[in-house]
Amino acid sequence: MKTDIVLNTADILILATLAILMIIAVRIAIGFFREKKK
Amino acid sequence: MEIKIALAGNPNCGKTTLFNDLTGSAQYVGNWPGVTVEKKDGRMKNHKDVVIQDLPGIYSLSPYTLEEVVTRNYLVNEKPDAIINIIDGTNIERNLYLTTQILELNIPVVIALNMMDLVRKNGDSIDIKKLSNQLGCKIVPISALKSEGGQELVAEAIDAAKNNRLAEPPHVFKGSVEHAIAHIEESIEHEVSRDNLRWYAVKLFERDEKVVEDLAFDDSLMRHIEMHIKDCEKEMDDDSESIITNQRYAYIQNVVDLSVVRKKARGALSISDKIDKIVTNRILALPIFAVIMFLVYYISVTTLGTVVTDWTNDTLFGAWIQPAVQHGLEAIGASGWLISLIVNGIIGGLAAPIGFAPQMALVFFFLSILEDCGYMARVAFIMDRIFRRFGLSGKSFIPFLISSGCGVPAIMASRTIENEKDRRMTMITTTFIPCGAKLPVIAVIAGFIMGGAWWAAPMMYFAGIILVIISCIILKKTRMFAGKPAPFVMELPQYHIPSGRGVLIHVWERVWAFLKKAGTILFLCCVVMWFLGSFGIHNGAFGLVDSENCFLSDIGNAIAWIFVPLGFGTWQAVASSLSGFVAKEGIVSTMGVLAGLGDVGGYTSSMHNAFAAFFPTSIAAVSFLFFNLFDSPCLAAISTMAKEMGSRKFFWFAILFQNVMSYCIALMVYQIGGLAIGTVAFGPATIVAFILLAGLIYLLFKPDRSKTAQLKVHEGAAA
Repeated sequence: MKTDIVLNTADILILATLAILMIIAVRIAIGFFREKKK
Repeated sequence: MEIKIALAGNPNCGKTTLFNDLTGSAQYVGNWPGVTVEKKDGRMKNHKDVVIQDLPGIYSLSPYTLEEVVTRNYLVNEKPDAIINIIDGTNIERNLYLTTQILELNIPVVIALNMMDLVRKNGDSIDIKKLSNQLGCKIVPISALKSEGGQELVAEAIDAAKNNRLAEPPHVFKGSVEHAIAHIEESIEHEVSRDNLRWYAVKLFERDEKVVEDLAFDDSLMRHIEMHIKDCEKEMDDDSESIITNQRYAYIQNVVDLSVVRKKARGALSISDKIDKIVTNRILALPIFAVIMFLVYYISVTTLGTVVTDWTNDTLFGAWIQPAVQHGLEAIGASGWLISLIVNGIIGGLAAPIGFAPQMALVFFFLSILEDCGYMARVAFIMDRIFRRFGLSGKSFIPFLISSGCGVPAIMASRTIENEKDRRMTMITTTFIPCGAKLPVIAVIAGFIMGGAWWAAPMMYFAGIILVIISCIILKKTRMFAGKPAPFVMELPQYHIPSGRGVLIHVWERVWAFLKKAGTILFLCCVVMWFLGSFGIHNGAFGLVDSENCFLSDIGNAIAWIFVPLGFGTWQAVASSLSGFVAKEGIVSTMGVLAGLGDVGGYTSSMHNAFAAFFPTSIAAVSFLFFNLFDSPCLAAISTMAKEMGSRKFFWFAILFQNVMSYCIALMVYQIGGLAIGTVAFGPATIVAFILLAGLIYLLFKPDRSKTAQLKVHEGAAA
């Protein structure tokens, strides 16, 4: 069964917040691996 | 101007404890020799222009292992502004050997006489003034563990560095030895820097291979130096290295006789010796170790651990966070699929492994108490007897011990093993010991199969040790790893009451690393897994689909055939295993996402039911556990292994060996175990499992060709 994706204003705000959090997480994760390598 | 002060001393004399105290760092401290394997820098508290450098422990400036080379090269070639030479006050004779060498380096030296609290407790006394006069440099009594004397010590070191206050070299060597060294100094004074002249002259007299190789003097100069050495050897009737060692110890004995008064007669048994009589007893040692490890896991997993874990799962996540977030998102009008991403994907995915953090913290708490009090150093000594039979040195036990926390420092700790073959073999096998990240996997599988049996975790710990032994027996019989294990000599530290701060730092470090991983790698992993588990192409159109049609199900089903013989051919189990290659915590987190844990109220019971649905039978879940415990480690450990292995061939061999081994073990567990309990029908995979078992037994008991060849050589020589 397939569900259609609907985007409202709240969704866009939440997605933008998630995107920022993911960018921060990627940056920390890269630093974490570098730190481990040292 | 920046001042660099290096901390140098024997292994396990308290360098890292002092480093943490002076810099406010939280470097890993262990009560056994060889914890620090790399130089570490930190800025002094309240003196940001002072850089304190923690160096790996070294017994002398004649290095044998990789981390000892780090220390010697730094002290001799890079020269810090001052050296704080830390001496264990309870073992002053042995520690002063390195001191006599450091004083020859022409660098300002301040001696930190550590463990003075223990010296006082033993009823001994050290005359600091006399000792200082004898050695020609300042001495500050300290207790790094109790943070006593650190500030005064650094003030002296800064003063020595700023004023370039060099120590007055003590008169260690006598008569013809001093005469020969003076001749060598004269011969090489135009060849080496004046600062290192004395040190190079002594090393050349000792015929130190590394120094001779580095200096690469021409033949005529070397012949001239050799003539002076031989003249001295003839006169002293001994070889040059022994002459230097003997004269250093004779000098040290004289210094100690003048400045140290001991209460107890030499040879009398200390409390540590009395405890060791029991815990390192030939018969009792192993049962005591087994009982202690079972107790650690029993208390951590069953009693206190269960209470805290249940609260985290059921109350914190199940009753507070998840409903609050869900209601909040509904209130602001978020779409259903986005609520699913956050509640099921992210919260559900993170809740599963984070719920086990309290149990993990308790395991680390008890293990660090055992390490800090000195017991684990004894275990390395006990294990040497067993490991040696299987061709592995007891030195390998230190990495195995560290591996119960994390594989990355464990792989790095294998640097203390001199023999390259043994070192590589240790790196390959060390991640078989379940690390902290694997504890949630064990707890989850034990939770729904064995009703949360507490003994599952210690059993897996011992299964890891057994697999290490099996692997070493097999690997030692191959040309790549053949050879005698390196001799294991380790100084056993005195037992002491662990410092609360040290234990808490250790536990916090591990838990923080875990939470950091949860907030970053696992968070990303959850989002990716939720996307792959919720989206797909159905009837030619991309969008949200049922789980049977999602991308993850397509990927899982495409490679599920590989895992069908192991019993867990469901796409959920396969996808969870795949995420384990990134980070082992990812296994339980992916299971949480795929089980839609955000939808459930009480996590603990629902989690077990949801996870159990991924496995057709209990034995399939056990096989899944074995595969995920023993396959190649997480990305961080793999990248460390690639760097430390120093050979692409050995690195790829390690990855292949770990995965093949884990696959074979899981196959045998599922097929043979399943056949025994009647849940698996006899088939081609069962035949393969029996062949593998026979092959394993053959490899374990087949004679070692290298040993047979050695025996023949000995017999030939005897005849």
